[in-house]
Amino acid sequence: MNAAARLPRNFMSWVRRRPTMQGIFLAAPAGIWLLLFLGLPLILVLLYSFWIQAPGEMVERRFTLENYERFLTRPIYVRILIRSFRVGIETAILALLIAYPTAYYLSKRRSGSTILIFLILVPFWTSYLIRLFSWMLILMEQGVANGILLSLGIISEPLRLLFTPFAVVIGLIYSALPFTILPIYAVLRGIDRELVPAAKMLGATDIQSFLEVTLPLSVPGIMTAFIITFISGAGSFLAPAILGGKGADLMSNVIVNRFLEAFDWPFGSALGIVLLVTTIVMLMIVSKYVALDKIYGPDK
Amino acid sequence: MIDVDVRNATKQYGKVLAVDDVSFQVHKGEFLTLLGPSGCGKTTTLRLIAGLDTLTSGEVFIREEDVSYAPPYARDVSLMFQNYALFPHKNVLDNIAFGLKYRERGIGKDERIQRVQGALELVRLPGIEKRYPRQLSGGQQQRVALARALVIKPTVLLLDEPFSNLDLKLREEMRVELKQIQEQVEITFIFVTHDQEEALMLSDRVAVMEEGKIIQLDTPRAVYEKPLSRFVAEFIGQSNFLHGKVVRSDPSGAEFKTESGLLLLVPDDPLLPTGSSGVLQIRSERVHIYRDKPQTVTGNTLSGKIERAIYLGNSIQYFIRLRGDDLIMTIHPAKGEIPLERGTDVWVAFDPEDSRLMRGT
Repeated sequence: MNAAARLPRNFMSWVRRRPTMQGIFLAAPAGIWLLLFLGLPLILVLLYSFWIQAPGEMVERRFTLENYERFLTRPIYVRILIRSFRVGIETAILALLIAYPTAYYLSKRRSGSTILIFLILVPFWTSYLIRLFSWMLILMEQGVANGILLSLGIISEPLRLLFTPFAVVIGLIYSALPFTILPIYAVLRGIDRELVPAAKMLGATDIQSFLEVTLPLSVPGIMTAFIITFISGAGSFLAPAILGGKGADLMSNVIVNRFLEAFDWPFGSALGIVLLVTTIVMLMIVSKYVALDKIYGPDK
Repeated sequence: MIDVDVRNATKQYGKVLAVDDVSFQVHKGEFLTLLGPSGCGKTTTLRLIAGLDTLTSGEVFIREEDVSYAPPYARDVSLMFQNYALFPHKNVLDNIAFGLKYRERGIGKDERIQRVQGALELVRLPGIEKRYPRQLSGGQQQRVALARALVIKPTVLLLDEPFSNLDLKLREEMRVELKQIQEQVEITFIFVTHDQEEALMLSDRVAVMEEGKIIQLDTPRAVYEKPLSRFVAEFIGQSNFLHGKVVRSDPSGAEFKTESGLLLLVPDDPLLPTGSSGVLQIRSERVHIYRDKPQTVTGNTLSGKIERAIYLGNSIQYFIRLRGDDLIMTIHPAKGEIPLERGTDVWVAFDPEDSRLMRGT
């Protein structure tokens, strides 16, 4: 056998005998991708946030905290940050309230849940932008929602629905629902089917069994759904831009505005870092209060 | 006293009759086993008594109270699940105390803990209150499940194949222990299994089920010695079956002619009229094997050739081809001898009283 053919084989067996090397090789494609397209840009943003936009379209590359000072001293930015989190939390909680019963129903079905999940995912074959525009048609003054409410006599004149924070949350819930339903569904499906009957045999009613067994065991799914929905809500750009009015801008809208309209990349970068860090801190606080090891007990 | 009275219980799923007009009664303190292959309706019957499935028709009484349509939590029964169904997010204490919390609201925390400790001692697992189910071995989980089911002191404990997830050695241990515990707590047990050995060993009475029906309900000994049908005989123990016709039937005895032409003496209970076709069942361990024609043996003596010998340690299994081409299997305790070789000419004999004549083919 010639050397050229032997080399790769030797190399592979060398790798196979070293679990760490094997891990490195398997993780490499994703790792390199993330490093190039997430890590590097993030480092750049971080660097920019410590530089300053000098008058005359020049970025002055000297270390300064001026951008962060500006964020803290102008109440408008802090207010928008708080609004972003509020929208994120509202979206997450409302989406959970809608998604949990749906996921519960799907998990209880003996068959046919695949079809229903498929139907839940179908809207995602359409562009997000187009779906948001269709919400405009529903929410506008002469839109579907007002039409129905008027004809039912619930209201006497059209409500202002579009271009409000309410419209933003509606749009966000809509886009978040599948990502809220699926993790909860997956966790509910994984719960041993005999646990609720066991609780009932021990004297618990249907509601008590749900509260004692199903709900606590589905917390991991609720957490996953909450985190995904919260992040996508608090960091959303398109929904506030299209469905929100003047006062509905969230952090992402301001950041985009800094970059593309004010050409103030350093300040935009600083706002981006603020959003990133505060989001991480928020999630750390949440996951500390809902420690998953409290649900399943300590490891062996 | 009758603890459980099942009357004409029927459960239909779509077009399938899972439980078909089943009636039986269980006495206080009795250990009754529902025995049958998978899909025979034994677990569904158990769940109907528990209230986890709803009767299509029929009635269930527990201590003379009609609970036919009562929810599980309103029935004075407890169920031990096949996979134990321990709550993974609760420790052993909270798992066992769960039933006390909901079924016996009156008792305080101290008494609750005492009762849990008592239950853990009963299953010989004291001091593991703080552990979580996944920190326990399969055998320990099973004991905790038993403690959880017993701590509420139900009238009836239902057990759904509780040993099927254990390895053989542990299973044998747990059987002995379960029987001891049952005698100790004096609670009525209804036990579901597909394991005939388990059923024979544990039960006061065994109900053999087939296709949603109870086809024989009797003591283990009666079920083994006097099976009412070929199904029961095949399900419990090992038997040979010979097809043929009754050729003589009178008070002095009966004779049976196999399709292969063997003429055999058969017992006269049950008495089948001359000319009726039937199946003769002979327990494998009741067939004796001889190298030479036995002179002293009364009953049926037949000659044949060993076709296969299987050495099983404590016993030897012989498949013997009889003169008329029937194949007969004998199980015969091994006392250290070398198994007879294949092709050896032998004689087999059995007492007519050790065989049973059944209708049908």
